[in-house]
Amino acid sequence: MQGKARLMVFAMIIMLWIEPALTEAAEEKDVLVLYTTTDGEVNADVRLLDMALGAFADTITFKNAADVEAGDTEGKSHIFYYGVTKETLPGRTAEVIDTFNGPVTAIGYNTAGLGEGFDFVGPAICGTVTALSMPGKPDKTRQIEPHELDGITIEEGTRVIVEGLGAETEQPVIVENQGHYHVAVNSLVPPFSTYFSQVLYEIFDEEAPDDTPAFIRLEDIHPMADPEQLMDVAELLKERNIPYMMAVIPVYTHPETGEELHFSDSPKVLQAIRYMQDNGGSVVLHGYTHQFRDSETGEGFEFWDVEHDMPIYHGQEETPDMRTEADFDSPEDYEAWQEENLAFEREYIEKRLTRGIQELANYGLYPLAFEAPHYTMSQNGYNVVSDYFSTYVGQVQLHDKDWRTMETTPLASNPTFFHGMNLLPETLSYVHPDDEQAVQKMMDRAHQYQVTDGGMAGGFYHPYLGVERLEKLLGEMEQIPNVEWMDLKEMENTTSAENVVISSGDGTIDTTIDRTGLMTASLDYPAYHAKVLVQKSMWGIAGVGMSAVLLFGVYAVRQRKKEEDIHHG
Amino acid sequence: MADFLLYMSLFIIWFMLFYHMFLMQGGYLHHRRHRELKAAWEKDPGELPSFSILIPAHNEDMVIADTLKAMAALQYPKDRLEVIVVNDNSSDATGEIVEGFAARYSFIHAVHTRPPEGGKGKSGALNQGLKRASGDVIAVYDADNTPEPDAVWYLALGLNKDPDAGAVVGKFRVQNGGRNLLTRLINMETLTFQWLAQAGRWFWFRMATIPGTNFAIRREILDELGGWDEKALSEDTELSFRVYNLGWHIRFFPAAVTWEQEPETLNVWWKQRMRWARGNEYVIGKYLLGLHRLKHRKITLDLFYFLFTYLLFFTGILLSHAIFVTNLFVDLDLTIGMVSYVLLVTGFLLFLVEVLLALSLERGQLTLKNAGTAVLMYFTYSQLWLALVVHATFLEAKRMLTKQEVTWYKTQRFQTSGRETVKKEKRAKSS
Repeated sequence: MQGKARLMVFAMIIMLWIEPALTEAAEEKDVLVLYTTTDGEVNADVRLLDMALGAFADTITFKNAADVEAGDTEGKSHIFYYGVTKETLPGRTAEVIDTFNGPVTAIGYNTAGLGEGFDFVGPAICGTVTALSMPGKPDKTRQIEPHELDGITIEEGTRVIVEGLGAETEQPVIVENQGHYHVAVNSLVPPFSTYFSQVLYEIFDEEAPDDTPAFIRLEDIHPMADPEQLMDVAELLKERNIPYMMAVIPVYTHPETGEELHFSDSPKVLQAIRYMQDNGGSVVLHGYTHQFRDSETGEGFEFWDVEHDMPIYHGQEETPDMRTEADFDSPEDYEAWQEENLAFEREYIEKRLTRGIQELANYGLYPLAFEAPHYTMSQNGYNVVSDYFSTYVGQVQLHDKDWRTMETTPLASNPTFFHGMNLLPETLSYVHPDDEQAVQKMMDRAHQYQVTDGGMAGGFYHPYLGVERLEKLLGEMEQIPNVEWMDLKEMENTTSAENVVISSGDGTIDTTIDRTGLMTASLDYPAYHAKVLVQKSMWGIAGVGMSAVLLFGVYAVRQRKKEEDIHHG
Repeated sequence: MADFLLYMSLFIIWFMLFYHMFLMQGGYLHHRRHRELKAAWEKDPGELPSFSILIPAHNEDMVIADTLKAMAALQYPKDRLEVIVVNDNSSDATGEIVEGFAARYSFIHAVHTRPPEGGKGKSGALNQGLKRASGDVIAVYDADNTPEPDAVWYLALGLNKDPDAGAVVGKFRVQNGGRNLLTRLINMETLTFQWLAQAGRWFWFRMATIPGTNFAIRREILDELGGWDEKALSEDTELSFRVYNLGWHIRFFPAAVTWEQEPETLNVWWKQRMRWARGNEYVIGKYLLGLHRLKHRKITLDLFYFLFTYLLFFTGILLSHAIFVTNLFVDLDLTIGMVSYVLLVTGFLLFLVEVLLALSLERGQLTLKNAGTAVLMYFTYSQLWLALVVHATFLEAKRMLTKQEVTWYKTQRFQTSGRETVKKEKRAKSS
């Protein structure tokens, strides 16, 4: 009897032990993405999906749908299929999906090849929609630019989650039937992306947040920035108690003389940025010079050769090697050449990031995130950046063939091609200097992104535009329901380069800096401190001099008085 | 680069200004303390030494009579005093005037020299006088000096009571200080120099530079040194260095007062100061090259003081002037900002207050008029010095490179008030 009781207690303990582990395992969101693209490779469209899923999934595995095998779904919680191009899928694909127990979402073409689960969807004629809405959720209706959608027919019992509204038609866009979701659009760009992301809450069974995260980033703060304007902006933001980001460029290159200016040459700007960092601002490294060739800082593309529309595989003065695979004798030669290019690019980016982080840290400025100049960055580039930064802010270049494939996503995300980096998407764009309606346009975008609960309202502002327009923008942004300003310092971020580790959390920044290492890394670093010391000592000198002036003045007056006393006495 | 040069020059300038502040503080403290010491020594002066006064005179008929009158009025036992006037190759009435005094006063002697021994300048004349001197203490007065009656007694007192002093230096005052703006400025300069540099250095380091006049030195030292260096343009600075080198100190004793005439025209001022500046640069060159041979490290302090004053300080000032002016026309991207103006103002105020403090130490000198002149002094007189030192350095550098012989410029004298102004132009340059 005693023995039995003991065994039961033991068994219960074991169960208590195991159960949380089991539930945890169940909650793990491991996603399998199957795709169909022209060349069978992950492309820009698939990366858009990656960005959207990155907000929810713990792991995402990509596989060409034609190559899928039975074992691929093992341990997966969700399957997404993205038919970017029309193709007849092999029967195996349907088999694999049919045997999967979790939710399956099909986007775009080729639904017919996805097994019985998707029999509820059939093709229909296309129609033009001018608005999107979510039945039962009146606040999610948005007017859109007229858009032609491939129509679908659905079986009875299918739930319409998102529908398109045309002049005469109502057209299902996102539908669900027994755990099978179909997204009847071919590209996950706005406005569709905002609806898609909203539906992801349901697909991943996650509660949507009430708050709307927002951020404002002050753009292109370089050594030639106007310190007074910076201070005006800083005071305004401080007064309104709004945390913000500063996109800082450590070097300004004069467009005519080519002369390089660092913050050590602009003590007032430096002082302003330090003040900002201490009063709500967080530094975001925005490249090192913001230029590759000789263009003005803030104008050039630093990590992209925009002239040849290719990554930096060559020196500034070199003519790029534009060969293609056909120019090589063997695939091995081609591959070796590609490796070389990637190594060159890696070294180029590493040098600039290291220099940028070190230089700023040497000034007491601690970048908590990175933003590529003009958001241009190759896939290899994101990989390199992820070695240095845990957080990336901005829009995202989606492939290496054309820098204009630039997109964003509604939610903070962790896409696989960011290699662990957290993306804080910029959704609102910016206050265009020449556009009177700029703020209104930003607010329209914000409204669009509100379709996704917790959809980011992030935009940027050039401090040189002055405080008035910023005031207007902030005023508008504060009207966003449940707006919650993001503070990088409250988030856990880690930035590291040789000799420098910066981390943040709970509103503070922690640094681990190997001073000796840093000071020996470049002569410029100790030189800056020497200069500061010299400047400070100048004030010390003036102070001592002034004290002597006062002292001697007192002596002279006393002496003179004594003389008078002798005279009169 | 411009930044670097500017900071460099500011450091040099302020290094010197700090040193001056330090000296001024010492000078002030010395002023406060020396009165008690003087009173104590006066009570027990000790046995007065035999005293020889050397007065080199080259064409001094305009001033020598006044000088000798003052000599005759000296309060010192006449059996222990001799005044030797070295009438050095004069072409005017100096000889006759001196002979006249010599006939009347037994302790006044005349030595007349002619080339080849004579006419070699002040050092040469002093060496000629030294040969004739019999005193244990040798004092020197310029031919335009009128010492106060107790001046010599105080010099003797200083040597008596301070066995470590090789020489005692008195204070000189400007006789014609009220004549014009220039003499007024010189008056303020001499007071500042003596209370800041002389009294300050004495207070902190037991050092003072032997001036050309109103000082007394032990005979044994001159014998050991072999007299004055006839190649030196500023024989006084040179002599000071050699006295330090023997291990003696030089006492500044402001109780011994003499009054002397200062240049009344810029032209004369320029020539006299040019001699001093070049002379001091000569000394810098001479001793700096032989620094390792100097026995007493204390000299290096003074040597570097001169080095800093004549070369680095002025270089610093020139450089910062140049940067300042250049920056008016071309943007040098200077990052110094506000503090440069603060330093500029502080530097000026420091100068002003130091001059005013020095003036306050002399009865009746700290007047509103003098205070106003001190402001003017900074912008005129001090800048003139800058030009002078640049010129002197240029000439000295040229001389050293081409190995030219030195020529002695004897300061031109001026009629003391009451007399007629004559022959100034004719005697502007001699020897």
